[in-house]
Amino acid sequence: MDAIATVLPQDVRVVAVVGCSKNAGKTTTLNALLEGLGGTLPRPGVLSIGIDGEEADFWLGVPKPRVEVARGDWVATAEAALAAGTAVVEVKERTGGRTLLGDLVVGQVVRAGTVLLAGIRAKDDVRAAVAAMLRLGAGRVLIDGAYQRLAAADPEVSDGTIIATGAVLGPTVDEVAGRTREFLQRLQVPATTHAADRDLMATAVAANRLALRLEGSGDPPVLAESPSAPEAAWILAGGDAVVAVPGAVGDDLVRQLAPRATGRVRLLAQDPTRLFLSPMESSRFRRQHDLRVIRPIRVLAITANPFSVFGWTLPRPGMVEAIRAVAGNVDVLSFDVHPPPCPGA
Amino acid sequence: MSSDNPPTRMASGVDLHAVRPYGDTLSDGLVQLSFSLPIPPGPEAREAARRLAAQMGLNEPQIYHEADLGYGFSFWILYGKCRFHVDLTRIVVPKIEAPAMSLEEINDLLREKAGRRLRVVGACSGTDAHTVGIDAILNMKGFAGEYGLERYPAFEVFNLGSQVPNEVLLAKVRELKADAVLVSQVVTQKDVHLNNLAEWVDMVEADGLRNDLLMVCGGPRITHEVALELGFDAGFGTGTTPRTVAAWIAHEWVRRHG
Repeated sequence: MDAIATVLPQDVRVVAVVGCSKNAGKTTTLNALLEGLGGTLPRPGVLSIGIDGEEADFWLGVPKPRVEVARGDWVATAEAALAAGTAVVEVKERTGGRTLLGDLVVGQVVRAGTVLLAGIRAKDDVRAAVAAMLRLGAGRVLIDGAYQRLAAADPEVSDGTIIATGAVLGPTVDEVAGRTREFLQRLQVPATTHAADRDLMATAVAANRLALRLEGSGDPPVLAESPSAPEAAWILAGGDAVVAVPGAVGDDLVRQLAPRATGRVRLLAQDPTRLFLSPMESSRFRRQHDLRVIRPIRVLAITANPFSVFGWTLPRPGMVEAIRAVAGNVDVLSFDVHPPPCPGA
Repeated sequence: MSSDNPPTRMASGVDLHAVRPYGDTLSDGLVQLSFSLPIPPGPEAREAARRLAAQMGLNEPQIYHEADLGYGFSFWILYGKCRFHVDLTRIVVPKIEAPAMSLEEINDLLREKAGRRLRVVGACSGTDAHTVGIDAILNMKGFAGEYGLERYPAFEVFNLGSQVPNEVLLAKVRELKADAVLVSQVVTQKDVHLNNLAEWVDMVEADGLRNDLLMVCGGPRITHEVALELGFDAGFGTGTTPRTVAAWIAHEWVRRHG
């Protein structure tokens, strides 16, 4: 299990674990990270952007791996959730956040066991909890994602991301590899290499509107309410253009942009977590235009789980090999994941 | 449950650390289950039904009823003893926190604390076209003898209808400067609603609107716990009435801004 800790560079203090799908193996990956960091000081901290460490899956009802913490580890969770685990946690700080399960607290484990991580749902809550844990002395902070939500992978929240994938994505190795490739492509949209793009995005964010400019024109950027607004049409009809989107980028937006462009468009998002393009629309747009981000996500590793909660198991070597073939230079690791015993049994 | 039932209380003698089903005696584990099989009744089918029940964790599976459904199908009712128990003391279930309030109380509270009408946007999002749930909560005529949110002077309601893509919903929320968004999901095949709801939450985060928005989801397979896991503030399931949702929105808005 120590192998996973070796994929964490020294400068990565906050790690997000995100899943290609629900039940892909995020919590197993988290436990492997905690175990791999077992002997390190200062001790790591852990939190979840959903609910993690519960006995049974909230949707399927099947048993889930518990979150195992050691003495000295840090946790951030709702105060009422502390009673649901076997670990004894000493509360060190209240972040001021109030959750539906009581105050959000940061504590240190004084007796090893399991913990229920709950209560943190929004990105700002994650940021506050991470800051508190690092200030109190955590060496690293591990963020467990929820479902296939990507908010924790935002580079403003975490320094690097580990992707959990596995047999739950499909009953064949090819299907798992194909869907993993799509997920990876979304997360690995490259950073822009044009310095002026950052200024354009800053303008867009400050105004909370689309910012557009003609490539190489030297004219000040134009702010548009939407890509169908007249000012946007004028810019896009003038030749190669750059468009900075301050928020979410979806299919509708690129469908409005692309037909108006007479030249090549470089579409800028703040980071890959703001991209919601379907694989088909993304591929179509990128055939003629360019998609870039200001802050790229640093993908540290992919963990591959050959066991599916739906009842099938894929051959580990074949699955890992297929995922490596689509992963580029990203490390692919696999763990022994078995269905845990029924809760209460 | 009928209102004639006595108030819910714990039965005496129950071990809360090992709660099991009971049939004849406390904690005997006895359960009844029924299912159909795609094979006709017969001795082999009986044994198949028993073995399936055993694999589901039942000891002493016994067949009490079998019926020929025709076309090669059969129906089975079995009894068996569940081998498992649960520790009730370790179960934590998040619950909706909102006081019971009347329509007038909700309006008065928001008139005093907000001083304006709260903007509520509702939609049946993604590919889902089943608006019965969102209409029951929002439409003026309401549901189960309670008026919908459109009837409340405290709310300005925008019901966007069915099959609203998340991107379109987001644009509307932004345009209207909504205070609360209610997303209804009825279709659940292949977990399409979970994918859609997870994308919706991430999209709101991506647009920087999350902190200013009360995010609610509802549907027959939605629970408050599911909603929290997905990143919503509240989730409402089957049988929820408009006043419950209205009271939660009012209570939560005042808690955050009041």
